[in-house]
Amino acid sequence: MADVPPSQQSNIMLKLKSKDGETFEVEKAVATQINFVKGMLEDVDEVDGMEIPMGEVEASILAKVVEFCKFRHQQELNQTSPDEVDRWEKAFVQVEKPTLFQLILAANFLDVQSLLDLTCKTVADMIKGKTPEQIRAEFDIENDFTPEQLAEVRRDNAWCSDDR
Amino acid sequence: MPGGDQSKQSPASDTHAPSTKRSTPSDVANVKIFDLPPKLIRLIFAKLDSIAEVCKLMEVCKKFADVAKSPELWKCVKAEDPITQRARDQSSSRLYRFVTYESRKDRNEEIGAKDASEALKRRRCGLALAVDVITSRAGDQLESLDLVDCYPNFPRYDHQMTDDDLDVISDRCSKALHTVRLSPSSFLSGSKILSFAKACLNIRVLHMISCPSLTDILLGEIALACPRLEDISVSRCKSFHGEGLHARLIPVHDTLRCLDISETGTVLLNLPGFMRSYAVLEELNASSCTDQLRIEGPQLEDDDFRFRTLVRLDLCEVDVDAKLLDRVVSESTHLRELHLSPVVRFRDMIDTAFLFKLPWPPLKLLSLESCDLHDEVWQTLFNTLSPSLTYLDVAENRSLTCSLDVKDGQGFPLLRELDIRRTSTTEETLEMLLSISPALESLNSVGCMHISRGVRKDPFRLRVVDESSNAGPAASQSSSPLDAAPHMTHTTTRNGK
Repeated sequence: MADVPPSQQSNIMLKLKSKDGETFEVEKAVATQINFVKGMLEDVDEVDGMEIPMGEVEASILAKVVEFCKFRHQQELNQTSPDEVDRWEKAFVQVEKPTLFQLILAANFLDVQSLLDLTCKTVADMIKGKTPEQIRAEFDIENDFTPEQLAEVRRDNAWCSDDR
Repeated sequence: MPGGDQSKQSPASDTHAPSTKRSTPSDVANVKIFDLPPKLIRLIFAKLDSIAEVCKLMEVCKKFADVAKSPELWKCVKAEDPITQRARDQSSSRLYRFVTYESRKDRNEEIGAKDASEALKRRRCGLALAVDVITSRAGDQLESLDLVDCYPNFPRYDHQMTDDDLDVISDRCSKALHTVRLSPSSFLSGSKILSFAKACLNIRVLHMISCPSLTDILLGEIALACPRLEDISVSRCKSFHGEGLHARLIPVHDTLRCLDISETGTVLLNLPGFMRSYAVLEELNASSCTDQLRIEGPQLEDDDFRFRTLVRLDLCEVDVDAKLLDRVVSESTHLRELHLSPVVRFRDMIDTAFLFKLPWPPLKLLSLESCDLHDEVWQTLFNTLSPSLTYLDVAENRSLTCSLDVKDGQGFPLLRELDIRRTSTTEETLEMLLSISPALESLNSVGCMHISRGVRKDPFRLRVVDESSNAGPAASQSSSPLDAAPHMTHTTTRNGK
């Protein structure tokens, strides 16, 4: 399959349908980057223009997933340089936090490992170097510990973190 | 061009807006990290670099605390106590490992708790707390435990690693554990280390750094008990003398990849013997032993080289015959890293004139500090190794002028770090070196008496001048647009010993 020129692969087009009814027409080679789709195609004979429902994934998020898969597909074909991939990925995850978390949910549900890795890494980078208080502020999290509970957690962590 | 392709084919931007049937925008906007299922939060936590970051998240909220305790996040743990962390952040990476405290051999009688309550108290601080927390969270999923930077030789004896801690680790985590780096401690007994190694059936990497009870006989017994060991370090173990090392390691001769006997009391090493017997040895570090280590052994025969897997060889402060070394290096076709300096302490120089007589493999890192290097050998070095070198240290070679006869197309295309401290390099030569080393990020020219003070402080200024004046026939070949911005000259941090 790797030897087939991209022009011939694009013969079969699939329609990925979001939760809110929007469809995205993509080449089969792009759609099969999504393991969810790949698994579905194993059970049926694919037909040009076939419609595949994408579960609970919203159109705005599905659009991002499709954008990501297209890039990955192009990257495999063109051997894009690591620097360029890096730049593209950085720009890709420049989104609002809710969108990012939705992307994580979608990547997990649709089983796109590289997208899941990228989005989780992005959130992890936001966490790095921040104090617990800053993390709560950053992600809008409520502190549900009693002072005693928190003191106990801190005691357990004394071997790896300074007393604050 | 992928960029153009996307912009054309992303229908989201224009079709998305009108088609929001069911989901209100606020629905999407409200998804928070808190709404993700624990499994996905765990995947995020798994992308953090250090276990300290994971621990910190436990203080955020209860949900985070539960996720952060998942054994999956505790499979490979590198523990680092706060003091060592600070030392690492504040001093250079080369120096922070010397943040070790006075050895407390004289207080040996204090080990062992006098009663149960004292034992319990001990479990609540220092390394014992770390081991207790890590092993209870990871359970039998623990694969790798690195305690080297966790209270190393801490001045308070009850913070150091003891035999009890080894028991806790082997009781809870012996199943999957394959990598263990013990904390430098004066309180570990040899017999306990041996029984620990026996209990961990899958152990492949065992580092016993700065452990006074580690003896030659003990190492032999460990090797016998763990025939799958691949990576052994007894670095800084002062009771280790390397006697009969070769014979003691025979049980692991076909698995041993890395051996570190640096800064021990080893005085004699049979390098040819190693070459002959260890089929997969990749790294050997025998540097800086207390008394000078001498390399001896029979002359090498052609069929002695059954292995050619060696990648890294560190023989700093080792007395080695240059001819033998030349032979070993040229036969080790995979060798990429070679350290031969400094030998100042012993005044015994490697006769570098005998080096490079045989063809050398394409080394990436080479240290030849204070090796009495002369220009002739320097030129040979340049001719042989310049295409592959990324790090080169020729400091403290006082008669070396570093001048080169550069032919068309020659240069140091990959060189990132160059150390020419206290050589007789002139400004012209320095300028030439800069012009043939386009990737250079760090250049140390401290103490070069033929270079003016301003240039010594900031050698890269020569490169900038060269660029702006846009001339210089010597530099014409490679002075492509270089970002002259990062003038990194780690001049103060590179003091060696």
